[in-house]
Amino acid sequence: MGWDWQTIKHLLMIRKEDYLNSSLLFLYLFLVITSLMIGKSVSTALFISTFGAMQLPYAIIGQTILITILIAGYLRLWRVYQPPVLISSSLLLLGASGVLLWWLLRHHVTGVIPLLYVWGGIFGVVAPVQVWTLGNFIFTTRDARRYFGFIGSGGILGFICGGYFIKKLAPLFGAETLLPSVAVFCCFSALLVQWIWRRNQDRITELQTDSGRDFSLKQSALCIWNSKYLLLITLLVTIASLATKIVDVQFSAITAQFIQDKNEMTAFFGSVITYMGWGAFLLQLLLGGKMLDKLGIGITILVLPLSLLTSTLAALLVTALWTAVLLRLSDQVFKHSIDKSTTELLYLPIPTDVKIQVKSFIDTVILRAGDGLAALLLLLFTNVIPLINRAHPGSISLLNLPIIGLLLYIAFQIRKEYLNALRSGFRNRGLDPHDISHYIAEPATLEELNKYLASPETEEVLYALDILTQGEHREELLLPHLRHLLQHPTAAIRLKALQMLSTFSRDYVVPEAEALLNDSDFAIRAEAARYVYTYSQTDILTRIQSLPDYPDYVIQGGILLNLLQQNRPDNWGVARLILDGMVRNKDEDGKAARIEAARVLGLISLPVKWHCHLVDLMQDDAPDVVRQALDSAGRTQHHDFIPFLLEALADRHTQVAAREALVHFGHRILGTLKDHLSDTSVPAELRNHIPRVLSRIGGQEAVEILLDCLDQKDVALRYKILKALNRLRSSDATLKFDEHKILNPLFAELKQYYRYTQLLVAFNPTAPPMLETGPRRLDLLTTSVLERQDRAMERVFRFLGLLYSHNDIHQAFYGLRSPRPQNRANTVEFLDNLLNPALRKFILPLIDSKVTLGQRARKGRAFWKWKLLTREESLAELLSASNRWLCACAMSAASELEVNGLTALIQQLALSPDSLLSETATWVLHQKTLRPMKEDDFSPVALAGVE
Amino acid sequence: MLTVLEKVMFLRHIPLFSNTRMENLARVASITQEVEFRKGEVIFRNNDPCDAIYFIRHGAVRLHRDDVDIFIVSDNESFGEMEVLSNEPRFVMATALEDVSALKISNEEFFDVLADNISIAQDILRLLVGRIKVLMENSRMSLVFWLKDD
Repeated sequence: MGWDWQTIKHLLMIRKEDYLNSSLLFLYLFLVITSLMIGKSVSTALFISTFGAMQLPYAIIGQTILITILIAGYLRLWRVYQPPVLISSSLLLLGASGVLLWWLLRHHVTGVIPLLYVWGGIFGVVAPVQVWTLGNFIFTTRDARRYFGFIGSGGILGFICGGYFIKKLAPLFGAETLLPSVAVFCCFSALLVQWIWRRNQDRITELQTDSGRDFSLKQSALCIWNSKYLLLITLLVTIASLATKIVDVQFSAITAQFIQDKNEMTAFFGSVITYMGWGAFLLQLLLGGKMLDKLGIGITILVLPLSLLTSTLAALLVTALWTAVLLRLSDQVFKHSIDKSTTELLYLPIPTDVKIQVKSFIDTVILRAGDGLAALLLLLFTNVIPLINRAHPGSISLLNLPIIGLLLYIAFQIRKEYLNALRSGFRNRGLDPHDISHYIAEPATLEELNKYLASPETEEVLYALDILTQGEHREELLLPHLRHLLQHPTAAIRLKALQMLSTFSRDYVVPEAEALLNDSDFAIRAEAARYVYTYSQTDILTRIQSLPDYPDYVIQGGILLNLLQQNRPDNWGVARLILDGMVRNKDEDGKAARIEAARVLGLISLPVKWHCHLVDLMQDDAPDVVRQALDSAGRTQHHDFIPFLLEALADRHTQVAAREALVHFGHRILGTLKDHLSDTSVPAELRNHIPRVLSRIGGQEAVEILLDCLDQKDVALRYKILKALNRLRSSDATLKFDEHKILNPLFAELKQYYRYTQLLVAFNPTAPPMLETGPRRLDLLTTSVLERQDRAMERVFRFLGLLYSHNDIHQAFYGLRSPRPQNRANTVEFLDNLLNPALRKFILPLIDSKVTLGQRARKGRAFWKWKLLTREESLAELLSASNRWLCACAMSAASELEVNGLTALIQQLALSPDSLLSETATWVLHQKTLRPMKEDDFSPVALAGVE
Repeated sequence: MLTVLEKVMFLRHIPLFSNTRMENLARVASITQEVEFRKGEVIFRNNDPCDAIYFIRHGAVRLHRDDVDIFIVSDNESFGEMEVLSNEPRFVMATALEDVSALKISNEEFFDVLADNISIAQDILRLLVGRIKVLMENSRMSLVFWLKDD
């Protein structure tokens, strides 16, 4: 592979529009880290050569206290000043104070060296954090993930240059002479900050819509305390800081055993920094960003703890200069490369305002607290508990090993929480996926609905009743409310409650219904009579005959039911006469009686010879009668009715009733449904409704049938099957979905999506990568292909909903359609972490809005070894497509683009029996933009396509 | 005589179908009829039963009550859809201001297509919900300005 600019760009994964931003941040971090290395090396070497390494813990404690005070002030300043002002000012102040300290050292002022050490600490806390903060202002989650690796390499390059600078110049001019150079780098950095901010004003405004910057240390601490995820990040940072600070002291202590001169020591530090920088640079540049992409945060977060564990063990076993170097490398190589990028990524699921508040607090106060704690532990285990031997710095490992163990444990914990945090992050900004039944089960929602049921407003009570009926487990939820509502002063509510109770499977309220036989409202009395003779064995006829105003059909229905329930053949003659009387009147006036007759026939175990009466009612002219007859047929659960129910399923006027009737059969009908669903000779109008029936019946067997039929050529049917599976998945968590049966059709769907991309890029290379909302400026074919892709993408997500959490995928699907770029980026980031590598490889290029159409097409060609299509080949494929609409659009496009090579194919299509194709072909040929073809121009290949 | 493809090319720019997918629009196009009205011709009168939606290809139509103009609709605009969607009699009168060429969908056929293709109904619902949102947002903004002025 040649190392040209394209290759480097590919490795770095930087988009064209972000070259400058990434490069500027790279340079900014480079300058800051170079300055830091110089400042820290000089201050540490001067301190150790003057006071000894084992005095470092005291300096660290002093440094921690001072930094905490300064940071409190710094956070207050965030409230007052704009970020670029504050960052630039603090950089200039740090540079100026470096020059002042150099001047004081030259004049041998007492107490400057501890002050210099503290200054080095403050520089290390403030300056690098500001780079990442600025980066978070200008990049989305997705971009940040992509570029932070590259920007981090700028820091590592700073190590190399800073180290080289120190190594060469410290022995020549003396360590302290290097301090003024820090001021120069700080000035350049301040200018860069201003430039970066100004050129990204629009982007910052777009991304930071809600950055309330009014916070204090206490608020930040409270914010962390109230979030498990933030608490884990804080613990991770604290323990990592603790462990690396102990490693830092151990490194200094071992070095001081072998080197005593301050300039030699500074130069040695410089050498170590240079080698460390080279290692980290190569690691980050070549693997950093990709490692995060490929392995994910779950693996990269373990890199630093494991490297610390290795070097600490080595230092325990051997105290030598090389183990000191190993300690330093294990800490710094990964801390400033992979670990830094990984830790930055941990903050990304957190809302922007919280992130700004908390991150500054963690990166400054908490980080310092870790340092201070490390110093206290070192003093404790050196002076009070003699675990550490001053003469043997290797023994410091005994203190650090348990701490590193704890660090590993927290890293494992945070891996799990990262995904949850991302999930809840975009859930709060997206659509809520819970279905209505879930809401009803939720106590707060139920409580709210109870308030409605108790409302004096009739409309509100009826509204609440309507909502409550949507739930899956409505009977037990509704019963107490409905029972109470039977005594409601408003007749409409009493009636609605009783009607709903009539649909229940059991005789819950017979006494209450008997009481309603005397109700003042006619409709309620009729409904009560129906309820009582349906559910009670009492002699309802005698009772209602003594009561006034009962319609004939209610009495007839009651008598008919009583006669049939006695199951005596000598009654059937009379029953037949009554039934005939009920159904005789075929006009609108007799409709109520026919409905009642159909209802009664569904309430008993009907003798077979009576089935024909129900079948007659299924063919009634009034849809209401047909629907009731279908419902009754379902209640009988007799297989005689199944062909009629299936027939009714294909009719849009009766399909709902037929579906519910089929559902009454339950699992007994699954075999029949499977046969119909998998039989391609069954009309599509019928097959299309079977998945819904299966999903209403539910159970593992229904899942298996649907999965077995998933590999459908008919896109509409495939979609219905998927919807049914999604419904089953969300309603019953115990159901199992065989991954093998899902992956094949899922990949077929993805392949189709990529194929559309190939076709699109061939006939319209300037097409947008995704369907756009707003005015329709694109040509018909481009729009139609993009719409097909849009539908395909929905199906892909429906497949994913079967493999992963249904709610997560539902959220992600809508997250990708959010108008806010940050939401879309967060969703892509979420899916990147959620999907397994095989799926991720195919799906991410399709959902990342920054991947261009051309890049997507290239991916498709690489995945399926497709050749690059010409415009003519693309249109020819569309002309031969099974989709007639795409075919018609392709003819129009061929005419507009004057693709003469397709004339023969279009001439053939003009003879098609399909009117859409023939009229379009004729119209296109009539346009005369295409060259007429002779008979021998007809290509056999093209004609095969038409066939 | 227009082909279905030509009708789709026209209908895709009608706001009522701005969310409708092309394939669905082809189904709608297949049930449209081409109609023409001469200048001054009355297309429907106030309180007439609503029977169709019209989509103007060329020309202009005056929607009015007596002599009061309610709207003037012209190329790529539709009229009559509100009554069809709300199933109410015509509440305005429609008169051709100039020679008009239009596509017409009878309400019965329109509802049949909607019933057979629920996704078209979903597309139209999405459009209507979008319009309601805009109205709500505008009324909220008006209220804010009104309060400020007050």
